[in-house]
Amino acid sequence: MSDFTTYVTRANDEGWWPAAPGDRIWSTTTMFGVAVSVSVATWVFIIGATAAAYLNFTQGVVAMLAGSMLGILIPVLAVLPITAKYGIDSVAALRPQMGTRGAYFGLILLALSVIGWNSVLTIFLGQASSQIGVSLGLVGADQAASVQIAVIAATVLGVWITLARGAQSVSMVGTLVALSVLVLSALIIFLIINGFGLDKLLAAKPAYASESHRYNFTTGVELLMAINLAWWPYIGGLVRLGNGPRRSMWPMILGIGLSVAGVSVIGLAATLAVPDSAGDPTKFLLQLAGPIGGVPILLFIILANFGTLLVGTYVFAVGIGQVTSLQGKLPWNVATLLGILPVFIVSTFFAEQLYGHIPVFLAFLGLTFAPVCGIQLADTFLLRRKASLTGIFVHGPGTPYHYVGGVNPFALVALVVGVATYMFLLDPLTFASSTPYEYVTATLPSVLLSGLSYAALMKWAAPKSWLES
Amino acid sequence: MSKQFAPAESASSANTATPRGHASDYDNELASLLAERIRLVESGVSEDTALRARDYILAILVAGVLPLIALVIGGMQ
Repeated sequence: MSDFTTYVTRANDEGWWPAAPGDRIWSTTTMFGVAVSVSVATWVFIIGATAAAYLNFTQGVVAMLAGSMLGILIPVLAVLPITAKYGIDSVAALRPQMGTRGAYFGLILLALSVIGWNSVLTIFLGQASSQIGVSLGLVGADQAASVQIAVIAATVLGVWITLARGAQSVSMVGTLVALSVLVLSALIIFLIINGFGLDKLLAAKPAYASESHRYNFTTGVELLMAINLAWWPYIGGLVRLGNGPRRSMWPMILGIGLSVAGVSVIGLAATLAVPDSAGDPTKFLLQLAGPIGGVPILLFIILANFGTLLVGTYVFAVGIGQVTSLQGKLPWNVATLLGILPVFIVSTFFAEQLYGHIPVFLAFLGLTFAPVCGIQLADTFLLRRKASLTGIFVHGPGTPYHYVGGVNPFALVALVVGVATYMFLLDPLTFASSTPYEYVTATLPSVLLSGLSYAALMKWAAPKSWLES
Repeated sequence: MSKQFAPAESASSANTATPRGHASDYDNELASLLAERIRLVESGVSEDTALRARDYILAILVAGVLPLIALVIGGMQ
């Protein structure tokens, strides 16, 4: 194969170019299966546990379902219409708004989000495996830390090797895994209710609830919205392989939004029933089902995590392929390594720091993704309606999305407006809030104000030509 | 932006990826292939698979309005 042919093949496979119609073969069922199996991983238990700090079971279920659906709707409407239409990823889809260089901001967010979540999953995987080993008497308690690191290293290596096959490896995460995950989730809920009793579950009090009911409820909603906003990079990476926006929208809304909410209920219930577990299935599952029932379920959760890690790293590698100066110079295996190596470092050396600050990480996701979505929503529904595919992929002075040196300054201003709005309403570090946070959340006003300020600036302050393509 | 924009024409100045060490013929060839891909993708966009107003309305209703109602009721409890 010549250099030239190799380049074109890679441009297609690695997402530098829009996916050819013939390569967009995922059916609605496949898309739904991938969405469910990717979204349901250990993080949902942790999210449920985080909500359980503020809410009782009934409030938690309502807040998580509503927050999750609202949260997924925002990035789906912001990014899916263009990514699913043209077969492009989320970072490329940001170019009409942020500019050809400004869209790298989306890549930075993608990297932080994917590496952060993948690290959370890998840490769990290591911890779960070592605890299974200890509970089965396969390794001593003093060896648990070494086993954990070894498992993390093996996982990272496994993801990297599997991804050498490119997009093909992502389709491994399919419908069967999704169905199994949903059945197992129902089984775990049954075990929890059967083990602790519904009355006890309904009567359980959240451990860190504030005196303000509204604050607790809104914070539960906010956390679920934040985690679903973080699907922004994944949505583009997945739907670019599907057959058009209409066939991809519901798999994303229900496959991700509803699954995340539904399975998060397990973490909520488990934490309320076994407060010491903090939603960690290694703690409550072994207690509920014993080693014989609990270990197979845990092993399956570990397997499901592997699929999610795979897709996350794939999305990262496709995203980094949007850095035009790296195209053709960065081998696929190096791109995937750049996505998975930081996960190994964080999981091995900063596990406690990350695990101890999950709510802060969630708030950071809301803080950053909310204004990005707001800008894209305004651009799609209020201003441009239709972007230029040529402008997205051909860069340089004179091209439609070059703006000022490749950056749209008005989008940056709108971004700052969105971030400032969020921080005014909710401090992501301390979770201290300002009115009207308890009535409107921090994410929704951030989406709204960033979008409106972007629309106003582009309509009345930007050169008219900036909206012509 | 007064310059008339055409994908293949602007390719020489465009920042399409360029493997190191190749001549500009190579760049032009790649740019014309990219333009060809863009035409292929744009011509493959079907109205049958596009989102229509009712798709948006249904999505906003199911994932937007209903959750908001649930939140208002839940928040008042």
